[in-house]
Amino acid sequence: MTFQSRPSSQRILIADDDPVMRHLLTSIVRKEGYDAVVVDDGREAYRILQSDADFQAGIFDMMMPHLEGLDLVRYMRTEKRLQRIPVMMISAERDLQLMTKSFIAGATVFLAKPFNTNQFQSTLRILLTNKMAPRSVPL
Amino acid sequence: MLSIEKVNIEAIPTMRTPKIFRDAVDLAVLASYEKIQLEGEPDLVVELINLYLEDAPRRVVVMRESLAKTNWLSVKREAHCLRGSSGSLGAIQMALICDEIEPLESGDLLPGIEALLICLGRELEQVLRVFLAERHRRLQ
Repeated sequence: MTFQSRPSSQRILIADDDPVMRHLLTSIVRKEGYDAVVVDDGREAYRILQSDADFQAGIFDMMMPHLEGLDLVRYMRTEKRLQRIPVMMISAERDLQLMTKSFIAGATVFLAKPFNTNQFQSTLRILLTNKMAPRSVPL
Repeated sequence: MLSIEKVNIEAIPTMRTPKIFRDAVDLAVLASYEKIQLEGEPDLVVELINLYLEDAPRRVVVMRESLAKTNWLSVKREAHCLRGSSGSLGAIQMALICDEIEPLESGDLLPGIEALLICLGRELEQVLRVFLAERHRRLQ
């Protein structure tokens, strides 16, 4: 599934294979005043990023079919035109090593599921105001 | 197929456990999404419920089929995803059962895993009843 709203510099790319989570993330992002470009796996996000770098941020689930969030962010950090885009990695994993791996791969912030709307909104604001400064959000 | 007419949240068995663990769904979690409701758009909670109603039963079926084929990776992947969506919608018990299933490996006892899947199926029925009732209430 790909849902794309109007082209603009206020776009955020969301990739998650869980339809409930996708809809939830999209709603919060739109509530924050951004447009959401939504895909249901990492491969689709990769395809979009190959030709489109006009995003304020990326929000990726860590475990996705075809291409995982970690691989996606690694790709973004090797492409100069994508390097400025901050990335929020979200995961239902409890393994703290995955958080470390996210930062090593190039994620900007990490948020553990489940989270409430306040936690997500706060993390999104951190993501958008402190671009590329790796940090974790309390679990 | 569950029937809205048969829904009776009060009929959910009570136990001597904290309320949050006794209820199939913590409705406060759903209510918390009202603040991100966009004006003029369909009820967000109803939309989230609809997505869950469509997605969760399918994942449980896939888990059962995968277990029958001893496809552990698929069982774990579905449990992982179901844990995330269930937790996000306040279906705490569902999330907890998925949390028990997810770390299991092929060497673990099959009857134990089968029992967990039976529990998951029963819990899903409870969750669906609550979600159907909540959806019905919101659409009235």
